[in-house]
Amino acid sequence: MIKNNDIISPYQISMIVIMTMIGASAFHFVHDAVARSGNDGWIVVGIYGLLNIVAAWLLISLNVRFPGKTFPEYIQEIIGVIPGKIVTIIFIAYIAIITAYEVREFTEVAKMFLLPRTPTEIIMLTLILTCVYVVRGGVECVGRIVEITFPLVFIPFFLILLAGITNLELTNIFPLFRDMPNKFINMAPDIPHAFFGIEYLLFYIGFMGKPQKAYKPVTLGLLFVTGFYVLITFIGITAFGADAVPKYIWPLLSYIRDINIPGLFLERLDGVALAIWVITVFTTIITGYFIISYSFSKVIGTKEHKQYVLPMVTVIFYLALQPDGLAQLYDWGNIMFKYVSGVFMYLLPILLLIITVIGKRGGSRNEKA
Amino acid sequence: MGLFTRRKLAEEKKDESQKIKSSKSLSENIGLVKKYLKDCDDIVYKEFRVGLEQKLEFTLVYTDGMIDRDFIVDSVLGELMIHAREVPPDPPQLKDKLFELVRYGAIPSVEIKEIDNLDDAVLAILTGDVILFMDGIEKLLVIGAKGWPTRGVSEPSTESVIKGPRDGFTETYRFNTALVRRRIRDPKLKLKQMQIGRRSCTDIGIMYIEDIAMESLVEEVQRRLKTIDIDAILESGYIEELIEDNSFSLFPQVKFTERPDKVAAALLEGRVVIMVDNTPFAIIVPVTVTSFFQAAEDYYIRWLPATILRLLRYIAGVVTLIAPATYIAVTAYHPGILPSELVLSIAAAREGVPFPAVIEALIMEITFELLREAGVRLPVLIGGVVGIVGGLVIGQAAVEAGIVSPIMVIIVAVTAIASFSIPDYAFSNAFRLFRFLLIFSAGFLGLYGMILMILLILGHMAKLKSFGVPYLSPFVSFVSSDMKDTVPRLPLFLMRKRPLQTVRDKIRLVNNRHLINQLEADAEASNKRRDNSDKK
Amino acid sequence: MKRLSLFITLIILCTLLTGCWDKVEIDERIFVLGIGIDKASEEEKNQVSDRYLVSFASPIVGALKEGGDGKVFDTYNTAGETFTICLTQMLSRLEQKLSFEHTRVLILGENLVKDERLFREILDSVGRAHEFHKSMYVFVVPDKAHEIFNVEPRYSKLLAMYIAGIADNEIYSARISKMAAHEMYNKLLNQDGSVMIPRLMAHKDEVKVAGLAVIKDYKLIGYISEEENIYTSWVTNEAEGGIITTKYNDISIPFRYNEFKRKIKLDKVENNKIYITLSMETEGEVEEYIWNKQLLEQENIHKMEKQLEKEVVEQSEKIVKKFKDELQVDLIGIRDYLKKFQPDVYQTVKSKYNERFRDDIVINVTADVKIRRVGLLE
Repeated sequence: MIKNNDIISPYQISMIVIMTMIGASAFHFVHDAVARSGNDGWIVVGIYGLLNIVAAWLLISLNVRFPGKTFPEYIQEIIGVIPGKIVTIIFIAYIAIITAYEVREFTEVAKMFLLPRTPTEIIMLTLILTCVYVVRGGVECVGRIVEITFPLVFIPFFLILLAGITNLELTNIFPLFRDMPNKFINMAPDIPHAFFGIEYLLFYIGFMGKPQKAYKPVTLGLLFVTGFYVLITFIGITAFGADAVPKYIWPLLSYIRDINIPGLFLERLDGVALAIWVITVFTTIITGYFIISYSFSKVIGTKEHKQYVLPMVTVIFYLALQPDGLAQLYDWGNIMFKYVSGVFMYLLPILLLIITVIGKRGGSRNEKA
Repeated sequence: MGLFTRRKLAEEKKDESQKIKSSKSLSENIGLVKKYLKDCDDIVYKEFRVGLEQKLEFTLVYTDGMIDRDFIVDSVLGELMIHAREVPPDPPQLKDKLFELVRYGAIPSVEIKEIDNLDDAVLAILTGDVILFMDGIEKLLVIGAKGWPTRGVSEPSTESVIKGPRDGFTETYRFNTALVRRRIRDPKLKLKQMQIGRRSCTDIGIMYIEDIAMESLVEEVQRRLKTIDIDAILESGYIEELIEDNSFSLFPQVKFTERPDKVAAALLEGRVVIMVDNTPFAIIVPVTVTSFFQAAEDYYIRWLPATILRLLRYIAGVVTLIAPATYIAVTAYHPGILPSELVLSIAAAREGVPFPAVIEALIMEITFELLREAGVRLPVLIGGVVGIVGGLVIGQAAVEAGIVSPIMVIIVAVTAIASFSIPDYAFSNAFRLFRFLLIFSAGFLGLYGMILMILLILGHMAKLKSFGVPYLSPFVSFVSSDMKDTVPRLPLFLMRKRPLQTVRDKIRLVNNRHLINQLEADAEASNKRRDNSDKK
Repeated sequence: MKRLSLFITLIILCTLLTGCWDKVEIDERIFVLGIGIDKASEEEKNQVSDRYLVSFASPIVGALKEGGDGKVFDTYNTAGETFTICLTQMLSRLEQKLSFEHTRVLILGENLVKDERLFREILDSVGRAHEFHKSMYVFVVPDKAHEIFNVEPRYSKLLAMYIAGIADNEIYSARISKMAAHEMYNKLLNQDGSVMIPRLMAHKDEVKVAGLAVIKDYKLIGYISEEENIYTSWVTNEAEGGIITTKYNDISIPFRYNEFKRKIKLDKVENNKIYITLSMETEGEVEEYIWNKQLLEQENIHKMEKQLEKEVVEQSEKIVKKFKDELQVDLIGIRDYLKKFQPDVYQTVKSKYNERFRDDIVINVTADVKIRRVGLLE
């Protein structure tokens, strides 16, 4: 009982889902949603969120066939050792890029609002090294830190959102349901960006004692994320009006900055909101970072992942330094999330599931018997 | 005072064959003991003769000051020298039965044991027992007559309460176990004893309740204790350092207490308690972060005030950790988040202060820590002087000289008071050190640095385990029923289950609310019936 | 591993020793509480390229502390080509760093607002700058903005706080309007560049918030007087409290309302004309009559209510007419209503809306006044 047992609880799985998906992009997300779907953005987001739950179920049903195994382990069973390793490496590269993207997006906003003169490298390195410390603790540590930060993030965050309620103009959501099909189509390419993180489940469910138990927590987690996105989109629309939202790069942050509570000890809440937001970025990075180092150790074939954590800093640091500025970052992000994320989130798991079902691989029948 | 189990452990330690057997000759035995205890001038060899003819030579050996002299005079010397003469034994029988006679018939002591080697005898002498050597008999008698100067049971000074029992542990191991046993009269309450320390041979007791505590936990505690190989254990802090999970952590991973009621409560929660001789501090394992914010009193007063007080303590913990760092981050990096009027008054207060906020905070915090340290070591009378000097230095002179701003003084004062409201000393020490780390990080990167440092601390806490239990539980490894005794302290009848996740017997109490209400309803019903019959 | 950790420690140490890039101690900052922006006139220009005259008002912290009489805030003027240049120019004249986190009021000069291009530039640069909090209040001054800062307020120490405080009195009097910057930005975006910004007027030792500056297509086209301000807040549904006076039996009666609702309803669309009803609902109390005359009487009160309703309708119609014919811009909120609740109708008038507003939208006003209480006397 003293050794780490490398098991995460169902509750931690739902926390991992939430804290991974809600990350650096949360402030920018409202912009995308309203730019594509106008004043019905919040409804569209909600429905897409529900659809993502179905996608997550597919992922889980793949995992259920290989209880106790994570993606880099069972993919070798499904498509063979060498192809499996290649896919895993591509997957690692993808997650590394996403993690680097998160780091960079965070840095840009932090530089804008918190530390305009501090070198980008310092902001990045301090963040990544803090993550390294946690990731070295293994999956249990990741699970626990995600669990403990959840209330730290969301309780104050909702309170802040609540504080600005007088700035909302509820009639801004009208007219409802006009031109819905177009709105859905416009929004579709941005959905992987908002809901990226469900592919992380391919790795994390393997650490659960019983993967069958993942359905409920993952559904709850996704419902929370969907609710969160619906809420912030709704707030963005009602606070600014559907025409004004796309003018702001970070509408949610602008909304929080507009809040003025006279008489309170903290008059402006944006500092607090940014501080909280650091935590959400931090958790998004550690969940990705753990997958990178863990899968890398599986590809190499070593037991421990710890020794790969520190060297990976260079990779992520290098990747994060690549974009020239915010504009290029968002351009690259659009390509990345529109075209690549979809493959890893929906296509790959479905393909693997089909292969598994047809080839009758995996241990699910034994499990049932 | 029972020491026999303990001796058994000692015997196990030393290989039986290597021990020096006692011989039949008294002088030979005494000679060997004297050689062994050479230059130990506090060992007393009391020779005396017994019997009508004064032919039987006996010798008592003991350490002066560690025995109860009255008891020896009354019950050993008195019985053997005086009363034995009154009943003349039959000489031929005597030779054979002298030992049995003395062992079973002559000494009215509750603790008597026979041994047959000199190693054990010497150990017993040094432990405070009396050894009776008898000429012509190989076996030796150990008479328990411990009686060294002890402190009486008094109120624990570090964990005083307004409402609740006032007895505290003392330096005497046996008193301490008795205080716990008095609270839990359950045969399942086990006390396993051992001696640790090659030279000190300190008594260590592991207490647990058999059907509540997890077997694996008890085994783990025992295993870790057995690995200790050290010359002496002088205080339970030695044990802590030698068995804790992470020695490099600032956070304490065991909990010390000198309150028997706290120990009893911990035992009932399925924890294991390690009692150490010569110190009033018992060790409780495993612990979680929440247990450092709990005070014994929380359970003796009503639940609502207890919850509010506990909430206050958590707030105090946060304040003591982040207040100076927040001040630095806000004033030097992000003055935007405070109300304009407040910012202006801070700016006005800081005008003329030559140092940056970080240095200012460090000066004040270090001065405060110095005062605190000086105050702890000094006698009470001089301690007051330190308070006055410190009050003047911190409160007035520094501000008037323009070295620090008055706002900083307020911050330091609030921080200090908050740090005193954390009930656990070891834990508040950890917070003191982390406070400095946070000051540095806030000075370096403002709010961002502060948050990163807090995340590091949280990450460190998430990594920590105390005897297999995550340090942050029940906030992590979330079990909703465990949350009832964390930040809130819910009414007892709601806390049906024991809080620790690793207990075997989970049910703690059965809700009696409905029974109470039932009785009232019954009483009402019967009253009504009586009224009705009266009317009739 | 050991060498690596040593290396990392060294890096951390180095950064710690050289770091603190963003640290600016609070006493090294000048908190700018008010900013005034003008179009630079010829004599104010230092260089030919200068276009703006920016003035700052910031408190003198030391003087605040002592609490004595005398001026407690300083003003600085600087001219520059762009707003941001103006901000940084101050660094060469002051030892401290300007800090805009606590800016409470943004004051725009008339000349600036009249110039569409300059006004749009300022809107953009203030909107982009991350230091500014958009909860600050915006005002337009009929003459030069920097002249406001020459006022030494009689009632309050800090000018900016004083102005912000006046604006907060909006809830008690409909003569005053306030507009936070974020509100202005939203309105500009949602109303196609038209907005009304409160007007600020300077006197010798006090300022007055009265009337509104009407901006159409990012250009000042006129003012609404202090009196009209009241009726404007009625029809825009922004009145939060105030007084309506009417004559009843030759006695002036002030009716104090705490609630004023304006509802818009589309009646019909006929012959390309859109008929709209503005219905005003308000309730409040009358606290002034004449000594020894009974006020608390249903019939009396009913008559009074009718009188008040007439007043409300009259004045509202007047102001609606002003918007329609004189200013030719819809700042009443009709467009907002059509967009949200009658999207089909809105589609037909969307293009060239302001002309359609002038010609084809017919607005009818109804009122419903309720006197609930009459004070302590009967």
